[in-house]
Amino acid sequence: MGERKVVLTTCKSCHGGCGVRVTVEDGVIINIEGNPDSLTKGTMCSKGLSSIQHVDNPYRLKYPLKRDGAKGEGKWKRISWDEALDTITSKMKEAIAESGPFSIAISQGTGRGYNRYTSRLARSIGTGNVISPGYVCHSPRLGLYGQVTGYGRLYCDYHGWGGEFPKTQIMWAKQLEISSADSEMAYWFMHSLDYAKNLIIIDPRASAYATRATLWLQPRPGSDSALAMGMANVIIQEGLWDKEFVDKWTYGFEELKERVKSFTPERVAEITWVPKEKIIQAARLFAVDTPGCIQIGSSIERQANCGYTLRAIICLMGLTGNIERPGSMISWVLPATGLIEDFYLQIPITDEMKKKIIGGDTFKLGAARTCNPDTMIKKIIAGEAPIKVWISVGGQQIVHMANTAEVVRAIKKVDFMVHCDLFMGPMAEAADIVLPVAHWLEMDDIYDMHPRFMIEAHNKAVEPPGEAKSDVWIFNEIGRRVAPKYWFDSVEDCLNDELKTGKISWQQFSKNLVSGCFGKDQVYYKYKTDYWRKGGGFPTPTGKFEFYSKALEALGYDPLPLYREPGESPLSTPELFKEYPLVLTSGYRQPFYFLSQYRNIPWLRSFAEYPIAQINPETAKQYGIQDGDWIWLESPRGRIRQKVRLFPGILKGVVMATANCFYPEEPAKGFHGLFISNPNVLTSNDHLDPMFGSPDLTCLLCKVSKCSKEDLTEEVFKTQEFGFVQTAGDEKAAVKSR
Amino acid sequence: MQQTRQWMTPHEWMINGNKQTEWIDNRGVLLWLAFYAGGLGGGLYLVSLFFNNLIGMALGWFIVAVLKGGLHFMYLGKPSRFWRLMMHPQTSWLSRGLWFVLGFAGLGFIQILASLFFPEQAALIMGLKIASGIFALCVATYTGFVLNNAKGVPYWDLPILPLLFVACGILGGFGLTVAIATFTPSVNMAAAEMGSRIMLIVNVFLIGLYMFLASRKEAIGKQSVLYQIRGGISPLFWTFVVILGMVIPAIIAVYSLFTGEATSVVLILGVVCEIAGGTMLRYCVLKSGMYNPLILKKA
Amino acid sequence: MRWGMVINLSKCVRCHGCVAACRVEHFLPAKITWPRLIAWEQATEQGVEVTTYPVRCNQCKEAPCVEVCPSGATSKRPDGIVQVDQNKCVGCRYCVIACPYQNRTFLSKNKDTGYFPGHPKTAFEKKGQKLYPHQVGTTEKCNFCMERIDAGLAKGLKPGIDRAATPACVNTCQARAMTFGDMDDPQSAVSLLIKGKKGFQLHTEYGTDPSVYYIDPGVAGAASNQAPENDTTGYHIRHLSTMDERAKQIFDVGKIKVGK
Ligand SMILES: Nc1nc2c(c(=O)[nH]1)N[C@H]1C(S)=C(S)[C@@H](COP(=O)(O)OP(=O)(O)OC[C@H]3O[C@@H](n4cnc5c(=O)[nH]c(N)nc54)[C@H](O)[C@@H]3O)O[C@H]1N2
Ligand SMILES: Nc1nc2c(c(=O)[nH]1)N[C@H]1C(S)=C(S)[C@@H](COP(=O)(O)OP(=O)(O)OC[C@H]3O[C@@H](n4cnc5c(=O)[nH]c(N)nc54)[C@H](O)[C@@H]3O)O[C@H]1N2
Ligand code: SF4
Ligand code: SF4
Ligand code: SF4
Ligand code: SF4
Ligand code: SF4
Ligand SMILES: [Mo]
Repeated sequence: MGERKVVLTTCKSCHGGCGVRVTVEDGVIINIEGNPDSLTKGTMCSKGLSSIQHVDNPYRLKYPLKRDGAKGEGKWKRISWDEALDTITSKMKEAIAESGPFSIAISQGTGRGYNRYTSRLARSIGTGNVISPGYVCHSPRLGLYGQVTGYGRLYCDYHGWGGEFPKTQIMWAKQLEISSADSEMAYWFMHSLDYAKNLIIIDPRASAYATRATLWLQPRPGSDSALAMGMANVIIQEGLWDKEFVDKWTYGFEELKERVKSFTPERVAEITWVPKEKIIQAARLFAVDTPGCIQIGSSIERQANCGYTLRAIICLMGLTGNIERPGSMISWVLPATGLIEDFYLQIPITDEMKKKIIGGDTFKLGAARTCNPDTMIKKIIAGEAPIKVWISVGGQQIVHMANTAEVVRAIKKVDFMVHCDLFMGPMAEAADIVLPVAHWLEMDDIYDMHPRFMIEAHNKAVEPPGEAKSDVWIFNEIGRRVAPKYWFDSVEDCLNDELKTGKISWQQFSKNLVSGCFGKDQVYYKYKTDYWRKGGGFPTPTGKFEFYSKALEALGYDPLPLYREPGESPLSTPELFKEYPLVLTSGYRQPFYFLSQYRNIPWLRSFAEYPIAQINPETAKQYGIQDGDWIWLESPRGRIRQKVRLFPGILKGVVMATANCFYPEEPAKGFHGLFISNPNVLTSNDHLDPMFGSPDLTCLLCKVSKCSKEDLTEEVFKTQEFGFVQTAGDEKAAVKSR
Repeated sequence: MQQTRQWMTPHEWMINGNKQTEWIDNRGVLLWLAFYAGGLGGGLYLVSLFFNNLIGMALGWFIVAVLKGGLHFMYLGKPSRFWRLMMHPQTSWLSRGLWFVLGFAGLGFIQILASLFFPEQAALIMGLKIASGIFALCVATYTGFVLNNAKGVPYWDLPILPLLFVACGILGGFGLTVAIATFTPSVNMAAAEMGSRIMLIVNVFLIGLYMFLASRKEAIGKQSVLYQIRGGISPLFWTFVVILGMVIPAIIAVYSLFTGEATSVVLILGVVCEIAGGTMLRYCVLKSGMYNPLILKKA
Repeated sequence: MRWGMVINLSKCVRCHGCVAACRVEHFLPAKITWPRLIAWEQATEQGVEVTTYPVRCNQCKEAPCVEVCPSGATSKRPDGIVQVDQNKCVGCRYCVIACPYQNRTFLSKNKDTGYFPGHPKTAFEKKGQKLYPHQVGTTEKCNFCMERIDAGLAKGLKPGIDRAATPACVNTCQARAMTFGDMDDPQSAVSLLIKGKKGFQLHTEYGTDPSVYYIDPGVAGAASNQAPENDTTGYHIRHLSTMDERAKQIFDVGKIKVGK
């Protein structure tokens, strides 16, 4: 037996957070399991455990690469780190000199523990143009919690720290048990169910618990605002609201009452396709069996009415007094190390930076700190060239943004792009320089994502392959060269700085704490104390929980919740509905993939090789579709193929497609099969949420048909021809992309 | 990433009946041929005992000891450990099978040698014949019991299966005996032909009965039968088992019964057809063996 | 002593964590998987049902695989675990055919392609060849992590209670859908669940008497939403133990120089 050591660290194979225990023998990982002394109690999911196939994966990027051919041609040349960093920084300086810092965009994917680095780099060079999927994921929620309660981070209290667990839980467009580490960890949620009385699931599609839940509502995708307002109406009509809380601590109850009055159960049933009895029952359970909490899912934030929908749902929390009470929605006391975002908030965003944020003038809530990516795409295509240098970290904008054909056309026009990743993928293929990144098992960093009361460490277990480097190292190196004032001599200095509020060093932190709570105890009912305000109250302009938001009003938005139909829906576009008679939603999370990742990890790919579209058997019958068939999904923007699963658990007339998919094994030239199955080929970027600029990714119209024999020959997936994006300015062909 | 194509069955597979593959697909063909060879060789040896046909006995011995043994040996995942197959005759039919094959191979060998070189030792030879005959019967039968033991495969879980396998082996044995009779007058052709005819009828009857019983054995038994007569392997079943294995031999049998004599070419053709049919019958039985789903969908 | 497992169908969320944990724990070859998840959905008059059956070797009391194994490679231990001795297995695959639960896999060459076909085996796989060798040409299945159990017992630990003596898949399950323990002990968690929650086995008609039971009590609807005073799974206990104090102990705050 060789030399063995145990490394305690933190997983971020998803948004991350599970404590991990790794056994290393002679520099090779021989076991990985949960860390029983962490807040996830030694449990892990398939993604985290399969990390072993990331380390030592022959397809990993190992050296900095420079493009050696046309964009998307897949030809690369190895270069040194010095050359890579010098080229990048001189391009940045050039852009700053010629067009100003705003012409540089820093982009990232979903939160992966590097958010603070992307934003700090942006601010340190003076640009507010951070590109992030936040506007379809989490940010709208936080933004509106902020508007309504004054504090942006409300979470479900699954922990029993206040002596009580939630009695009624709502999973609203959310399957936390799968999307774990999104706001909360699945483990905490599932554990709290042992003490719950009611579980209400609001989802057009059966998530794991739906068929055993107390109540399962299946709304038509995109109709949730009507549902929430209907439930509010029931609560008010039946006098079930929390009188004490509403009287004392809220603002605008009468206006809300007036606004929801017309949303009778009958009308809401018609709009949402949910039987009215279920609407009434859900409202009653939530109002009567308190404390309760609502876990809001990002399927709602991927809709162009997300702002008002969220407003409506948050009002339900206020109506029932489910705020700051043990077992309800609560804002956590931060760990002693403070808010990790302070690392970039320290550098204030100037008015000039704000002014130059793309889309900032239109989407006043979303684009306050980050740009509106869809607007940026339109501007680039229009030739306005707002972005000259694009530095991209671990996000696949090409895959994840609406209207793929347009995104590809735009990204190809960007002068200079850098992408940092572990593997080659669509974004890397479109870049000029690709930088190899270390996996979380191969690096030191600090971790503090969604659960705000804990702080964790990524401790390096093994060496990264080749010359791969951690994200923090890469950012620090770029930062040091372009904005030395704000960056550090070494990664360790940087990490020490991030921890300084906690008065501990990285060395001590990584050795002694690794994972957990560190700091003051939680405080409930903060609004009844001096916590936010002397004499009690919320940190809002009125000092109350605001059903009616003056701040929103001042920004030109409706101060109350509003029901609006999606850009394309049976009700908003009845003509289109005739041609595209099914409602399409996309993006239900699969337990073994994280967005577009892991189709190159054999253990995970083994669980479902191809992206799956779910259709109700009865709907499928109408179209002659059988389980396991390949089908075409078509919208006015294009068509894609997915494998169909006849799933009785989905609402009739609705199709659920797997989102965020490309095929790593497909050739570089078609951006790795980007156009074969990715639902964003179908989505539109023309209809955006007025507050956040979010497109309708999870509610649009489509039609389906069975793929013909020819479509299905094995060749289809192998030929270079299919799924290609035509180059040479052939715009029509690109839009069709068939 | 070129090679990540589907290599694991999707997770929903066990809610439908799915076919066993280990004993028929890929290297499984070796096992199929071995199992048939056991029946055929054993059957031929038995028939040859009846006709006192030394050539047939030798051929039967060869088929069992060399073909069957060799094919089965080649099928094993760890051939060098083949002797371990003998370790559990108390419970395992496969183990018993190997003992039968070894017993038959040993006794049969001695018997044939004795018959050749010490024909005067009649009593000894008779004893050897009885003993090796019993082993031959066991060799021809045991594969049926082997399949019988697979509780999760309703199609195989029928007591009639071993009977069918023996009958099929004996039919093949008569067939080969007819073939031998066309070369050597020492075998009574008419009797061989008559035996062949009777066994043919018995076989047709048993196959029909087997499939009838199977189709009434749980939903999956029926699915197996349907798969065989209407599904993916139905062309094989109808062409080989029915037309080659039954109809053509029957035509030849009827023809020779009425004309009194058929040319040896025609007879040999019939024999080949019969054997092809028997081989494919085994194939079909193995191939349509479907497991009961782990969880049964209510209709 | 008879080791058994109870799987809560209401809790399993199809996350595949158990499958991955087993692959890690036993260095499973590329195309081998011991536990599996069987997806089960159907629409009936009463409504839709969506269920997942986590499936692994049932460690049958009357195990057909033991009965048919001609080599003696498959045997039943006194504690009820059915094991395969890879050094004895001849690869006849009779057990694969005979296990009515389809829980056995023959490791053929084309199932041992390496994780990345066309590339050398990874360092993890190479370590596995020494630490937990798999033999091509033999048959394998879930063994209830008997190595963990044995090592744990030797250290005086209790399988099902102490993590180091409990199967890897049970430990990793975020839903805590699986419970492990001694079925012969009427007071063990498994026995109580089987009795109290109407545990059932798969395909009892085979007479195999599996040691894996299923329960399906539904989610939520619990009697109380009060945090138990002595919640043994309560990570919150730790949090409430005044973290400031603890931090002081750990970090000896004050003596530390931080940052630049
Ligand atoms: N395993 C895994 N975990 C992940 C991810 C992953 O890819 N894989 N992704 C991470 C990311 S970035 C995010 S944002 C989160 C997202 O995680 P969640 O917020 O849980 O989002 P989804 O799973 O996409 O969708 C949740 C549910 O919403 C339903 N739904 C779809 N449209 C509608 C609608 O219009 N109304 C209602 N009421 N329901 C609808 C879907 O059927 C689905 O069951 O998960 C994170 N966690
Ligand atoms: N139609 C439709 N579109 C959607 C969604 C939907 O549900 N439906 N969901 C939306 C949502 S919520 C989101 S969040 C976005 C998600 O979209 P993205 O965040 O862009 O997700 P991925 O496509 O997985 O891209 C992540 C990339 O980061 C790399 N990566 C992983 N870890 C690291 C790391 O530590 N460092 C670095 N440098 N790179 C790393 C991965 O290899 C991968 O290439 O998609 C959005 N788009
Ligand atoms: S839930 Fe996320 S953090 Fe936890 S093991 Fe899975 S991938 Fe890792
Ligand atoms: S780990 Fe638990 S929840 Fe996940 S699939 Fe396995 S049994 Fe189900
Ligand atoms: S489940 Fe199958 S492999 Fe496991 S003991 Fe029972 S018969 Fe043997
Ligand atoms: S394959 Fe191995 S374990 Fe299975 S029956 Fe044959 S010898 Fe026994
Ligand atoms: S008990 Fe152990 S061997 Fe069996 S499936 Fe679970 S992890 Fe694998
Ligand atoms: Mo997201």
